[in-house]
Amino acid sequence: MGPPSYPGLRLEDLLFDALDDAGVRISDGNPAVGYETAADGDTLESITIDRRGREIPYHAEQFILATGGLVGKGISSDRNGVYEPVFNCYVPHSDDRYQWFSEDAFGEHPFATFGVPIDEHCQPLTAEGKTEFSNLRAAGGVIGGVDPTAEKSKSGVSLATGYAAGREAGEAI
Amino acid sequence: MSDAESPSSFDPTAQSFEPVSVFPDAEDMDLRPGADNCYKCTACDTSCPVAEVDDEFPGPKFQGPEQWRLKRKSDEAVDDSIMSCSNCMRCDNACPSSVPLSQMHNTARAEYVDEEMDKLSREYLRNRTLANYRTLASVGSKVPRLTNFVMGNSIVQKINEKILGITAEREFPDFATETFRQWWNKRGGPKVRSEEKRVAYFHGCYSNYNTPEVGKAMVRVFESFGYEVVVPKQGCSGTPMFANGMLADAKREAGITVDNFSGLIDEGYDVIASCTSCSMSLKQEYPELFSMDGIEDLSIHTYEAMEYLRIHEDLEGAIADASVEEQAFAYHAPCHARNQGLDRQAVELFRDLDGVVIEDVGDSCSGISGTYGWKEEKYETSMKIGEEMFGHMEHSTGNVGMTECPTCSMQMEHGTGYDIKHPLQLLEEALVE
Repeated sequence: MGPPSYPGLRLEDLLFDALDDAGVRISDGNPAVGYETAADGDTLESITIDRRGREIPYHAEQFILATGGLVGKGISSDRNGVYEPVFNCYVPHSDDRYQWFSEDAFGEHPFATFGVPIDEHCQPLTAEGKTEFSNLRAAGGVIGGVDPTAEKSKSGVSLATGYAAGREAGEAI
Repeated sequence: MSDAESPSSFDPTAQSFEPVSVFPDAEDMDLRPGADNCYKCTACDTSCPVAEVDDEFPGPKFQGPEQWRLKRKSDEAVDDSIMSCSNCMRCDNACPSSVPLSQMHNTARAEYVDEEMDKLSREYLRNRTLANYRTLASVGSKVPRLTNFVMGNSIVQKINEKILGITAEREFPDFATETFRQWWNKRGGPKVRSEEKRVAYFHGCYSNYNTPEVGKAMVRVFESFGYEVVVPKQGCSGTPMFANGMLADAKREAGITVDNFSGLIDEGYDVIASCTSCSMSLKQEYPELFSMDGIEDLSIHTYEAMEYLRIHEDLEGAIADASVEEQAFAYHAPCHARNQGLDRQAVELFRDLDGVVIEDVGDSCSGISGTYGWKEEKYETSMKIGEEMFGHMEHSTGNVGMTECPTCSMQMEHGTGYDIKHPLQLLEEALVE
C-alpha cells in the first residue's frame, strides 16, 4: 500500500528504530490463525502462526490485536455474521443482515462502525462487558464503535489506541 | 538408506514429457476464487519491483486476476508481458485478500510458453537451458577447472550473448572442485544418528555444485545440535522452471523430490533447505501447481535451515554464549525469504553475536531473480532494480554481504564486488568447534 503521509513515515521509522534498539523480534508474511490459553482459559499463552501449512505457536506475556478493520480483514463477515477471526472477540452487530447498512447511501451505516468494543485499558470486551482475555489489548482499525471515514478520525484513533495499548502492555510485563 | 548415493543417473534433457501437452493441469486448477477475491486495491502493483523500473510492464494485477477474467470471455492469448514477470512473488505477500497471484502468473506463463512461444526460437532454447541449470552444472562440474576457465573467457561470454542471449556482463559462478555430494560421500554420510532428531537435507543445485561450503555448514551446524542429517537423491527444486514457464520440467523435478523425500517424512524426518527459493518451491509452488501423492505432506514438513533451528532449538541462547572474530555484514533478505516470513531472522540472530555487526540493507529486491538477470534483454532491468540495494550495501558498515539466496548473492557481488556469505556459514563459525 502507499505510504500514509510524511509524519506517518517518520513515525514508522522511529517505531522500527525503537524496536530494533529494544531487541524486539519482528515477523510478518504469515497470518495469525489461532491461539492457546493457560488452563484458566482467560490468559493467552501463545498465538498460532500459519507458516505455509505449519502451525507454529509464538509465545508472549502480553498481546495486542492490531489487525485492521473490515477492509484490512481484521474484521470478517459472511452471510451469517460479523466476526473477529483470530480470537473470535465479540463484534456487536444485528442478526438481521439487512440492518447492517442504511438505505441512504450517505447515511449512517452500521457496518462502518463494526469492530471490537474495548474498555479504558484498550481491552476487548465480551457481550457481557467482561474482558475477553486478561492479557489482550486492541489498537487501530479493529476497534469498533467509530466511523473513521465519516469522522475522518482514522489516524487519531490508531495513534491514540496504539499508544495506550502499547504503554499498558509494556507496564503489565 | 540410500542417502550416500550420488544424484540419479537420470538425464533431464531426455524428453520424457512432451512440452506441448503440459497445460491441462492448469486448466483443471480453479483460479476463480482468486480472481474474485481481488478488489483491485493495487497493493500488488505497488510492491512489484519490475513495474517500478519498467513502464511497459502492466504489473501483477493485470498478469493475474485481470488477465484471467479477460480470458473467460473469449479465447484471448496470454499477453507476452508475462515473460517480464521475474517471479519474485512479492505480490503474494502484498495482497490483503489472499489472491494467489504467483500461482496465476505461473500458470499464465506456462500457457504462454506452451501455446505462443516458438519451440525452436532462440528465446525458448535459451530459457530452457537456463531453467535446467542443474543439467549444465552436472556436466560442467565434472571438469570444474576447465569449465571455470572456459566460462570465464570473455570470447565465450560474447558468444553466449550473441548466440544464446545470455548476458556477457555477468561472470559465471565458479564450479567447486569438489561438489557437496562428493564431500558427503567421502565423509561417509552422517556422523550423528538419532531416532528423535532427524532431518533430510535438500541442498539444491547451487550448494552442491557452486558453494559446497554452505552445504557443509548446514550439516555441521545441525549435527552440532544432535540432528541426524541425511542427503537423499534429488534434482532441482523447480524454481527456475516456474520462472521460465517450463511447468513440465518443474513437474518432473517435483516428482523426483516427492519420490525421494516422502518415505523419509514417514520415518520422522523433516525436510531442510538452505536456499530460500528451494524452500519456497517445496512449501508453496509444489502444492499450488501439482497434484501428486505426498506433495502436501512434503510441503508442510519443509523448512529453511535457520527457520527450523529457531523453532526447535534455543538458537538465541547458543548465539548469546558464542563469539567470533570481528566482522561486519551487509545483509539482504531475498524476496522468497520475505514471503516465508524469514526476512528478519539473520539480522535478529546475529546482532546478538559477539564480534558481529550486521545491518539490513533494506527491503528492495536484488533484481536478479534467478535466471531473469542472466537474460540479455533483462539485464538492464535487473540492474536498475538492484541499484537501491547496491547503494545501501555501500553505505553500510559491513564490507561482506550476506544472504540466503544463491542468485541474490551473485547480484550483490556483481553490483558491489563484495564477498557474500550464507548465514549458515556464520552459524558454523560461531557454534561448531
